[in-house]
Amino acid sequence: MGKMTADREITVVKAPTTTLEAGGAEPTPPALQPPPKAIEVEGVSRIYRLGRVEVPGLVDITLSIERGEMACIMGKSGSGKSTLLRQLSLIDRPDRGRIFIDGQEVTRLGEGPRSHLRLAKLGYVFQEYALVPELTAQENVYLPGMMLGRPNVDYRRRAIEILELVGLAERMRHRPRELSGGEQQRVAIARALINEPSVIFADEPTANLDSMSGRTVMETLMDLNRRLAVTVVFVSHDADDRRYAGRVLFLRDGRLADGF
Amino acid sequence: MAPGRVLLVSSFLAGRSLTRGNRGVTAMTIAVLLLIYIDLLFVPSLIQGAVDKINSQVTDTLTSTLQIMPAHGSHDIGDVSTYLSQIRSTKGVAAAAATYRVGSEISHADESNVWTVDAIDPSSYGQVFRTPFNLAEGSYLAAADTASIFLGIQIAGMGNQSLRSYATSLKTVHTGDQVTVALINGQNETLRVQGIFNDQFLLADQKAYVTQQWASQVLPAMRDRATAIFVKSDGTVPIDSLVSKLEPLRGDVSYHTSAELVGPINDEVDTFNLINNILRAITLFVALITVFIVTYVDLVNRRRQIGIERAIGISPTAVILSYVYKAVVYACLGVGLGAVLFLAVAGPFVERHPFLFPFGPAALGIRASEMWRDAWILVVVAAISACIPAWRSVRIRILDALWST
Repeated sequence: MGKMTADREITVVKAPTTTLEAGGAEPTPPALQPPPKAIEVEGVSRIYRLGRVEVPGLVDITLSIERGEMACIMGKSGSGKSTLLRQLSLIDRPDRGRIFIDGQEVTRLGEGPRSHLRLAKLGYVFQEYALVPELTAQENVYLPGMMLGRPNVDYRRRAIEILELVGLAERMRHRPRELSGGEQQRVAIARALINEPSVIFADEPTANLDSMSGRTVMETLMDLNRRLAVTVVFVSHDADDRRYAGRVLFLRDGRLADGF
Repeated sequence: MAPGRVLLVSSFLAGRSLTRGNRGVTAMTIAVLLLIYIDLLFVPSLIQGAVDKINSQVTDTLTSTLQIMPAHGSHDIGDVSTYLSQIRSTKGVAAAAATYRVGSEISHADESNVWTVDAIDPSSYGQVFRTPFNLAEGSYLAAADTASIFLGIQIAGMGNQSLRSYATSLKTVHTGDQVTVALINGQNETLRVQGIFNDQFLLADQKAYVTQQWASQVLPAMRDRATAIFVKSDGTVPIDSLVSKLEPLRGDVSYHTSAELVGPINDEVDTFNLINNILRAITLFVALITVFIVTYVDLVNRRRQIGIERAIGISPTAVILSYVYKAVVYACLGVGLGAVLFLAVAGPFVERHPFLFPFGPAALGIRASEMWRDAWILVVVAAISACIPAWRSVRIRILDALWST
């Protein structure tokens, strides 16, 4: 794990408690309006159509994820964990149900606002690194920052700071093909962080890595979650990854299981 | 999303892709667009060169800037010496010369045909036309020459079977040979060939000249008369103004500009231009297809990458524009290199090895305005042809793009 030397103020949060609310149970309204949850999902279903055959990917999922939480979605292959992550990260649209990000309903947003939300509020780490091959590590990291163009933010400098945060500052001028799988995945994590998202989604980020690199990547995510208070939702089929999560959401046949 | 951000990101992605992407594809695409640009320029330039040549040949060998002819119903113009003096003293006139048509048939040995034979003052004629300087053999006429004739190469033949009109020429006439001219008064005169000229223009090379001095001896009635007067402008006065200045001098004549006299040739030029426009449309269509295919193949190979870019929030417009930028850069480089190649290589090469037409050898008539116009058209076509597949590629769902291999 690289040194943590980000210039921005870092808020260390207490590891969240597990508050799995499967099955659509509504929480009791508090007397004072609490800050909205990072993610709220109400009755989301996703059906894939293969010709005339309908295959349920997700069935009536209801859950919420608190701000600053590090949640792991686990399940067997085909259980719907990546499908759920894509609904939460606005890459795909559910057939039924509603999704709220920071209290804002995003299910019915058009592609333009969804794209802007993905850019400004969400970070995504793909299973297969998914870096732009013609860009250096630094350029890959600052590309979303350049797109968002927050005022008074020097995205080039910020990319260097984040690369330092994930321990890759000295590799910032290297292109993806010159980096190892683990390094590429950490660049992808840095890219997901550039716009200071409220949630980072990671779809089996260690699936293509050796165990050492996988551990480094997961520790990086966990460290960022703790130091930057960023909510992390990751998908894994590796039971060992439970130890990085504050809580685990277990999916079976597209349904959220009661426990693990 | 602010338009400035979209432009910034798209140009950034395009720039990195161009400088760090597949250089072979980049080079090939630029090379194809270079050839397409040269193709766009070549035929119009050739036609323009031909038109320029026609105009210069007509004015230098047949009509000069302005041709003054007898008014309708008159055979000739009288008191020519006075009239010529008045014309030459008119502002805007560089030179003027009079001719009188004295003969219509020339024969040698067993060969004979109908050609025009004009009586000229060799000195003033040489100030108006280039013919005296385009010698193929012998020498030009002198004012005092008598019983001498200056023949066009298409009349003399000179034993050159490759001549366009050799079959109907006198075939083997050279300088020093004797030819017989049937004059307009019906008598035949034997004249010595003083020289043979080659204007490389079929119409001009089928003419023959004798001196006015000799003609006035054998045809006294033509003395101080002309069947045509040719006026060469010095270029300082527009042709219409020049006509306006000359008109008060004489009322029994008509004025014809070289543009009027080449009317039939203009019809051919219009046909050339029509063919050129059809070829241009085909060439632009080829350009469109080329850039479309290059962009499409590029997009197919990058479908997953586009899915990733969209997933991380890069706007579809930025993705489309990045491909449009690339196509515009391809086109600009193709146009730039094509222009250099065209101006530095093709132009000088064709200048040295011109295309041969019945009106003479023609080089490429290069017009900067047409080069700019074609450059713009090609760039716009390239941008449109890149935009279409790029737009289609961002319309597919992000998931479908991500699942592409």
